[in-house]
Amino acid sequence: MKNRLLTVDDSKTVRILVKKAFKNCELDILEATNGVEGLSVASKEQPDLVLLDVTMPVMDGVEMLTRLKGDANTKQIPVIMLTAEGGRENVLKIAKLGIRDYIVKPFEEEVLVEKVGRVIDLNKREVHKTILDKVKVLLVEDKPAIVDAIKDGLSHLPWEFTAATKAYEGIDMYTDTDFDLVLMSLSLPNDAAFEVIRKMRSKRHGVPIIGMVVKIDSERQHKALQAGFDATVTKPIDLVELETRACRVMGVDTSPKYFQFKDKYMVIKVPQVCSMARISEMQSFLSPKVTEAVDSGYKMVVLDASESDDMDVNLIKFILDVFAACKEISLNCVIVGNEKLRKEGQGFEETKNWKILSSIEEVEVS
Amino acid sequence: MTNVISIPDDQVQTMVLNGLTDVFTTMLQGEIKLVSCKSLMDVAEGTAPLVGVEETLVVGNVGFAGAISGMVYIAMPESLAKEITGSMLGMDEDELEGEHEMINDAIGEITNMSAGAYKNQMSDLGYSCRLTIPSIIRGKYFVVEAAKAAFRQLYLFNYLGQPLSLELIMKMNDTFTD
Repeated sequence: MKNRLLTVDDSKTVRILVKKAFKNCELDILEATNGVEGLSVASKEQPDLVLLDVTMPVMDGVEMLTRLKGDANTKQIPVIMLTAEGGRENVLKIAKLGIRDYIVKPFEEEVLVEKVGRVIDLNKREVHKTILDKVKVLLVEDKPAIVDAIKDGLSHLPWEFTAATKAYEGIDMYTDTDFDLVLMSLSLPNDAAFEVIRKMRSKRHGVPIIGMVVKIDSERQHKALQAGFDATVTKPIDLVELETRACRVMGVDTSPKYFQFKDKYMVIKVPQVCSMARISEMQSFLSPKVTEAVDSGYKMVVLDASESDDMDVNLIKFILDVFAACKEISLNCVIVGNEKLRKEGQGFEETKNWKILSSIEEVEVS
Repeated sequence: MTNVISIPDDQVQTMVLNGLTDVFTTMLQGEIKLVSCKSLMDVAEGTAPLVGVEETLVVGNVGFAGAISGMVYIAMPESLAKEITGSMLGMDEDELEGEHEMINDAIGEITNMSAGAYKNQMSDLGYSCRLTIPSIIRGKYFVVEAAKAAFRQLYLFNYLGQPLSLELIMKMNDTFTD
């Protein structure tokens, strides 16, 4: 049986961050938004660990902790504080009430996972799939044009699609095959998608399911998330967005999309559109990949921005981060970009002195 | 210069900066830069959080009360609030379209952590106090009129090429007993 962790925090942001931190663990996450709710869930569900905030409306964390430890039914449940209240005096006072650990916000995911892992077994799942690996996708969609568009649009990935045009076909296929991902229309006749997800979840937990819904139908989007869909994408479907979201819910390592090891150097491939989410994704890989490059004997990093047309602030910031990371570890770094990018680069104080080569071939010659 | 809380202003500034830098580095993997700092002690009328920004502002507020009491206001343009939320939660821009509640919650939490990081340093100096629950103000062209305080300072920052301000107001409570 999976361990259960109860997060008690009035901030939805923190509850999402907690869920995100444990996404690769076999762990059920329960939620409560204040001390009263927290006590009720703790008493009813008997979680294996409570992560507890201090400052909350209705009942704060200190009172909840006092009551939890004063109740014979719940006093054995271990508690880790996760709070912005971190003055020495406050920490000592709370520690006396009986806690296993104390984490002060802001917190790093790794620290949270490590401290929780000291108290309960996390059963971490091996994340072995990368974006270059085969992924089995079940597509439950009654519109053949959408099925074709998704298959064509994601044909650059080694993903294998099986399509079901009817709800019952989808359930049968899901029962017979171990899929890595389900993409399901929320517009199936008779609102069948909600019944299908219920049946799928009752047969097998843990397979991520994404709902596809018409953009303006926000009511159905909310209903889908409540019904247990891991994410939704809106129709007309943006295939880049679908790919990003699918990788995220499956926990697929997307770093090979951006970081590629060639014979003599590591290439950092900058996408055409550098949204903040993309930059954050690339930044999260930067330090380990640069370290991996040095460990593997590479001496140079090529930042390939030739597909990018826009020297915007996100891209400039990312390039500066790459320079800093390379400098710290004594790696050479060169930029490759197109003519438009080179011209735009002349216009900024931070970028006007950058030498931007026109192609990878030029890098090899130089 | 020393304020009546007996802590030099530059030490307060260092604590504010340390707290904000820690929050932005840890939660957003980003670098926030201090642009300017000015005292608002002699400003009689109210002050606008970010002068010249035409966009709707999102302002997170968290109070602290105890041996010292006060408020921390963190103000930013709505577009920056959206970027920060997306970056922190790994969400795309379109996922956050119209999600005021989610953005408010995330900015409230950033303010909570920043105010907490500052007030924890104050607590360790002997000024014990507790945080209040965060709240959010959204709007344009509004001013903050603070009650008489011992210390009122406005710090302007740059994050991702956009302005962000932190206003700190605090006063000493002589009669406080914990």
